[in-house]
Amino acid sequence: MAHFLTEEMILNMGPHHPSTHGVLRFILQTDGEMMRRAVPDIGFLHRGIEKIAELVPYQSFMPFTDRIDYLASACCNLGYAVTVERLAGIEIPEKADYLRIIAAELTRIGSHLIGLGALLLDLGAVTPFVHALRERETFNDLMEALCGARLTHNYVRIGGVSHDEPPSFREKTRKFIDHIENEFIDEFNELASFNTIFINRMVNVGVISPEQAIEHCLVGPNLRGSGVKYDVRKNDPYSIYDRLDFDVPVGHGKFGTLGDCYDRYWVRVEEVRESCRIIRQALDQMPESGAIRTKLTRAFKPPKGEIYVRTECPRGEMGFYLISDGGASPYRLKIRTGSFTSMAIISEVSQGVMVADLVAIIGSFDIVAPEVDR
Amino acid sequence: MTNEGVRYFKNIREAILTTAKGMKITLKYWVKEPAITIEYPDRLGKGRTAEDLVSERYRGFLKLDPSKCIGCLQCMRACPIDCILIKVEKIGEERYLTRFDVDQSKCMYCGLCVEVCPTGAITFSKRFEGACYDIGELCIKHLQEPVSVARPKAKKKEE
Repeated sequence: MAHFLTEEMILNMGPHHPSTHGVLRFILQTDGEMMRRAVPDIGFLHRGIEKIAELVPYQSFMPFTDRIDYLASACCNLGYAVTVERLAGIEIPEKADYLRIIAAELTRIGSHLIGLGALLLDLGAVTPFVHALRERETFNDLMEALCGARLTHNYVRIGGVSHDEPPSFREKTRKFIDHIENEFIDEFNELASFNTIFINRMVNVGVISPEQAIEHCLVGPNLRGSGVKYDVRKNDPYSIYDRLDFDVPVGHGKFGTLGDCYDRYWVRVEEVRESCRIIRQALDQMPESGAIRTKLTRAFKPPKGEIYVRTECPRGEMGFYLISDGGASPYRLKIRTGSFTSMAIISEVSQGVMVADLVAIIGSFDIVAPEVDR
Repeated sequence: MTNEGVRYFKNIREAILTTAKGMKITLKYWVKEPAITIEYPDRLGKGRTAEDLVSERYRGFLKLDPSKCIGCLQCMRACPIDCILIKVEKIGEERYLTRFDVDQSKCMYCGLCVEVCPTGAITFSKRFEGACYDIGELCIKHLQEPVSVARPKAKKKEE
């Protein structure tokens, strides 16, 4: 019998691999088809956004927050705006608050649609991704009518929002969320989520126990997928989330073990429904007219001090740590993102899985590469 | 047949059934008319351009109305990436705008310059098709010759 090579082999995956959600690189230590470990190599998309913040005025930094997580730019805008407003003690008009929440939750739907579709695309199902993109197109049109841009919205401003609602915005939004809630999700589930082949690829893969998730500082849907009921919108409400009634979906081992890839996937599906509920309430409560922006002084300078504010983005908790020395631009701005924390656990959960399963694990974390590096 | 064997065939049966359900949905969209995607830009319809596709507030290329610009340079300062270059010179008694360049290849269409403009001289157009062979073509010079700056308040006094 011939002698087989049994030593460890090191393989490179990425940085330009179709299923790594951007420019991500993994170094795989493999033993045949089984994997010993996958070590992420990050930093390909580092743009120095935190350093840029120290060089531009407070208001001018807003377009850069779009680029932290380009799939959910309105949520990042909101996080930064809330941070500066709390530091400077700026009151914002009520209508602006509602418009912000509607924009942020619409963005969450749009982002989850891409996340769910891309995961299925990674596993070889092309059709559901196209279906998800079709719905995202409606969301893009809504945001374009609202603020003029389709991807990098730059809608929220310090002290309010940039535009008032366009005519017939409420009807169009209601129609969109009705369609998503009543028609699209059921159809999408039948098309993909309840497909036996898909379920068998997702269950019992990449299992993260609740203790492990908390130890590794997982945030957002990845944490909730492990059964930990924690949502910044509920536990530490910012903006007007305390006025709105919604549930926090958690994983409970729907088809397999608690905290597997399918649970993380299913939490995102449920979150789309919850976002629809939030938008419907916000549309009902929003005042018909009113101011949308508090005017800042031309050379806006917040008082000296430091603050840390966390907000719930589609990929988990996004924290802004801001130090102000009383100048026209921040002294230091640190941004903490959800994708970065989930990178750390990949090398642990990827031990002993097949190479093909790694794609499912990466996809289930819904990683966006620019958010990892910033 | 053992339990294992039964489960094996049951699994295959379920996989085929659920895939068939998905295929049904695909088929539904396949026969549905009209198609969701349209070919760009050939099938826009008669007399319509690509600019008719976008909404009212669309943030496209920047455009300038030189008769309104007062040369306050606020847009230049608000721009986070310095893609606007304005020069105001004094020729004789009057102030003239001698240069107003917008580098559209750098511009990130954030809209901060349009917001700060006090007279509405700089606005967004709906143009978004910026593909060209030389990146220098995207640096748009809005002024061919010096234009005296607008003085809206002075005009009112004369009236």
